Amino acid sequence: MLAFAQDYLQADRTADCPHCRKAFRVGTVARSTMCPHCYRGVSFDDVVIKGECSGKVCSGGRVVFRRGSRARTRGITAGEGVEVHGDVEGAVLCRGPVVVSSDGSLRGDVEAASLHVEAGGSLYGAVKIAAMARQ
Amino acid sequence: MSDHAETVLGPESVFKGELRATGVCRILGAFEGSIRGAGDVHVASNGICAATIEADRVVIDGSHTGDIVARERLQLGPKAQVRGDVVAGAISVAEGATFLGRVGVGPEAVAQARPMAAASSQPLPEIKIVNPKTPGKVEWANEPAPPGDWMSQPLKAPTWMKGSEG
Repeated sequence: MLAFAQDYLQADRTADCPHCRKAFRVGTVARSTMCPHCYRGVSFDDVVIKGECSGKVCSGGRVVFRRGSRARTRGITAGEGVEVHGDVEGAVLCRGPVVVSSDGSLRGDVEAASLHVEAGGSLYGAVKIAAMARQ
Repeated sequence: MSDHAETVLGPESVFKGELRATGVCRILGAFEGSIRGAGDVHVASNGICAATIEADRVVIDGSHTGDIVARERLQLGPKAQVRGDVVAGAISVAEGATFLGRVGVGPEAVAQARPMAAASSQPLPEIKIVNPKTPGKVEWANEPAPPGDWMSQPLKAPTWMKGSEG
C-alpha cells in the first residue's frame, strides 16, 4: 500500500500551460505550479463561474459556466475542457472537449479537441477542431 | 434513421449534380453538387463530398467540403474532415475529427438558415458531351475550383454571420 502511494505521488503527467501553450511535466496530484517556459503560475483546479464575470478566464483544468451565469470575457483558455450552461461570450481555446448544454449559449470562436452542442444550446462563431500537437 | 428507402452512391461511383432525396442518403463514393433531403445524409468514411448539404440529420465520417444545414443534428465522426459553414440544431464533433468553418447552432440559427442556403447554393454545372462515341466521357462547362490546401487558408466570414461578430 505504501509503495502504491509512493508511485502515485511520484508519477507525473504532461500538462499544457494555458498562457504560452507549451507542454511540461507535472506531478499527478499537483494542483498548481509554475510554467518552466514562461514562468507564470498555472492552476489545475477547475474554475466554476456561477454569476457574472469579465476579463480573461484561464485554467489548466476545466472551466465550467453554471446555469444562469453571464460572462463577457476576453478569452477562455482551459487545459482539460469547457462546459457552458450559461450565457458566455469570448473565444475559447481548449485542449479538451467543449460542451454547450441545452441551456447554454456561446458566442465566440472555438478551438478545441472536440465539440458538442446539445439541442437547445446555441453557438455562433468560427470553429477549428483538430488534433493539437503539443509544443 | 427513418424507414424510407435508402439512396446509396457506391464506393466506386462519382456523381455530379443536384440530388433530392427523402429518407436515408449514403455517400460511399465521390459526390459533387448539392444534396437536399428531408431525412438523413451520411457521408461514409471513404466518401468524398464537395457539396452543399441540407437535410434533417447529417453524419460525416469521410471528407466533406461545403456548407451544411442540418435542421436537427450534425455529427462528425473521429475520422471526418470537414471544411465549410454549418448551421445545425445540434452538433457533435468527435475527438480526432478535423473541422474548420463557421458555425451557427441552435433553433434561431436553423430558422435563419434559409437565406444562407440560398446564398451559398452554386449553379449546377452544365454537361457537354466531348465525344459522342464515348458518352461516358463528359466535360463540365463551369468546373468548380479544387479545394486545394484548405487548412492553410484563412476563414472567410459569410454574409449571414455578420450580425454575430463583434
